[in-house]
Amino acid sequence: MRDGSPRWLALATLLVAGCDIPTSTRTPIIQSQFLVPVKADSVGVAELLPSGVTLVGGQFRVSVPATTASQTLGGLCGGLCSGFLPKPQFNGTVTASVSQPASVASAVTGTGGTLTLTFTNGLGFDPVRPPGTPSRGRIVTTVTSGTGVVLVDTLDGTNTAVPGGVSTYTIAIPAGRTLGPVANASMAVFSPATSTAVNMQPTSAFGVTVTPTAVSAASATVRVVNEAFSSTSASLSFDDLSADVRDRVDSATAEVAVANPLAVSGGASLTFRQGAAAIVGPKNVTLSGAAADTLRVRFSSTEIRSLLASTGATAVFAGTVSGPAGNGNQVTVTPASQVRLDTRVRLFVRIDGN
Amino acid sequence: MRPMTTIRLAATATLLLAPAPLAAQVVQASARGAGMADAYGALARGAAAAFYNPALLGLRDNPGFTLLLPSASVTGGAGPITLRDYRDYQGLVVPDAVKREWLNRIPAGGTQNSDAVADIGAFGLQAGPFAITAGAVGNAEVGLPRGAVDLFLFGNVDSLGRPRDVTFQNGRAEGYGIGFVAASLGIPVWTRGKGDAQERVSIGVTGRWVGGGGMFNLWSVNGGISASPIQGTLTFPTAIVYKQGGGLAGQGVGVDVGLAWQSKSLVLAVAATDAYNSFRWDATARRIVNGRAFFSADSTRDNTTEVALSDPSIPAALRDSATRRIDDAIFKPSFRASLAWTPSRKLAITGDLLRRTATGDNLQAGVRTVLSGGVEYRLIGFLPVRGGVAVMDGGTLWTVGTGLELGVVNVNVAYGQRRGDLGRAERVAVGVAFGNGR
Repeated sequence: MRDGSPRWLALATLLVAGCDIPTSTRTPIIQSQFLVPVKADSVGVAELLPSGVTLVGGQFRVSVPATTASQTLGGLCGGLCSGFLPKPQFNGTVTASVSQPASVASAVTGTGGTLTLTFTNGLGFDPVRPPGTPSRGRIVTTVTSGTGVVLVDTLDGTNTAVPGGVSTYTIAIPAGRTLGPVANASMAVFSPATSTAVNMQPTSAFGVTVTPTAVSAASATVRVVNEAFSSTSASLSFDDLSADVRDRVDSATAEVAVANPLAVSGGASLTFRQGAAAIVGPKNVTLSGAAADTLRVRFSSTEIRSLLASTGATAVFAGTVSGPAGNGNQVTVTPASQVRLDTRVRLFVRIDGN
Repeated sequence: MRPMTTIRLAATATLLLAPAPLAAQVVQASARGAGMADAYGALARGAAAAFYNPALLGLRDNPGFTLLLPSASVTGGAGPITLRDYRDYQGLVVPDAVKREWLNRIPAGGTQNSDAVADIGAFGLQAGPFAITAGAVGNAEVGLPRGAVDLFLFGNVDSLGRPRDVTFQNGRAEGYGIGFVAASLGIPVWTRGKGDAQERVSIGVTGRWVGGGGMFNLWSVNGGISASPIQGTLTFPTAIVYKQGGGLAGQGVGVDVGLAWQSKSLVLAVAATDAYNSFRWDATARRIVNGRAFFSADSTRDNTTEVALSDPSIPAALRDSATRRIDDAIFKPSFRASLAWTPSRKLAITGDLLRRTATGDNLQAGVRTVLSGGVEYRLIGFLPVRGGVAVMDGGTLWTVGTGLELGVVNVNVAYGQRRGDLGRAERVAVGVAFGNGR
């Protein structure tokens, strides 16, 4: 036995060394990646609209200022109307120019918009209902923009009077018409002749204030220049993630898949917040303007563990964007237009037995 | 976002890929027998005989007294990804190429299997033809579907880091723990001749009380993660049996019977283990988890709530399925035919054929047939060396062993490897006995 023991000891050692039994409590280290989604978010078109354009009831509302024009009786009547005489028939025109906000290159009209004509009749008679005759005149309003006709409307003196002083008349703006930067409103006034003498002063004026109201647009081409936006995700819940799993996350990357049909570009940042406090970030990224892009933000292990340990965190994606410079920063939008942000977190997980 | 489910999946997979926790199984607690690939059903004597065939207690060379200290035979293995693979990368990052090679070993529709068996002889006392033994019975097995291994190794991204579809079906895990106390008696019923040449026939019987600690069975684990949208599902119905607050979750009695014939150098023996066994899991201890989880970017739902099997919230089909599995988790008879030939005091050659009738969800249903052979040779009188081989359903086993027989103190150790469908498993056994038996 004295001689045999070392041999048996050596044999036993060989047996143990040659077997497959793990020799320590250390385990193999498996590194794997898990992509986990964050609730999809988007930057709606409302965030990108310039001043003068708002989103109301699923349509754009374009703020178009009122404009006023007037014409003298002499201008309307071609110099024939002067003195206390029976009024001759005349056919004159008052024109006004209506401008959209400078940021709106064009818009396609929606429903519900109106054009209110406020007449200030200083002629001393009603041009569409002149005294002493059953004949009635009319005011034909034609709004054009560029080469297109936006609307044509006839105010018929049979139904509507334009008495002295101030009166109003409202015209519905039909849908589906294209408005350029400037629209011209032409009001052709036809006044029938009358045998009754009226006091005609060539310098008396017929004024019209054109007030577009609730001008809606189904789509618009707007200039987006350094428009600020901010998008906040729904609450992210990591609260049921146990600490031992959290501790196995080596690092992480937040990946924001951007669907950008508006082709806006600019600088942005991604910040994970808990309440007002930033847990992670801001991490700066650049929106390239490509229709599809992926923005990547790398987290350190400390950052991702802070995030995973949070409760009710939100992802705030904010920045300033502009439309394509080569196109005058113009972007054609509809009320449904949006920049969609699909955020997911790529977790680099280290799985071992420790 | 709630990545919890994804990560938990991975964390769970970690546990399942690693060698499973060790449980216990009855009968083969002898380290001497383990060194001979358990071809020990005709060679065992003393208290150890009670674990194999009680009729051996009635043989001529049965010792007058033996005391078995707690001994154990532990087998743990995994495959096709093996413990050796595990060992080779202990503390190291497993490269992607190696992970790919590991994964490719698992065929489509196949599983990564881990199992652990520990036969624990807690106590054995034999005096003459009587023996009292106590021990533990148990087993744990896990079958992890290829898709789940894929998910564990690589996550839900492809080689380019893009999200991908990963699905898996028919994952499973089951285990149980049972303790027992048994009394055995072996008596000669026929003899011829005298001395060492005496022929003898003996019969034996073991009466066993069996107490169940608990069991679990996840019989159909299905799930996956889709690429677009990224969302995951997991279903894992789980039948569980345990006594809340402690206590036995099941009990019953079992009976083994045996017959042995002995000549001068040859012993032939047959035994029926659990020829009768009334063990059943307690109806009041049965519980179930209608396990399911779903996550997407927008919502997360999961259910891991454990309720009584009779809970009305459990769908009838699920309850029936769980009930059937629990009802089936009982012992079925197994039969052992053994021989031992000892042409000299230095040499013993043995052979056993074990046939279990357990199937499906029955306890000990994993391996039904085992044909084993062993040899023991004494280089020096007190220093035996042993070896054995066995073929079984879907695998083979080889073992080696040795011991020190110092008067009334016997110390035995054994080591072996099992290879086959369930992968490569390691087996280690150690035992100490007092008395003039082995």
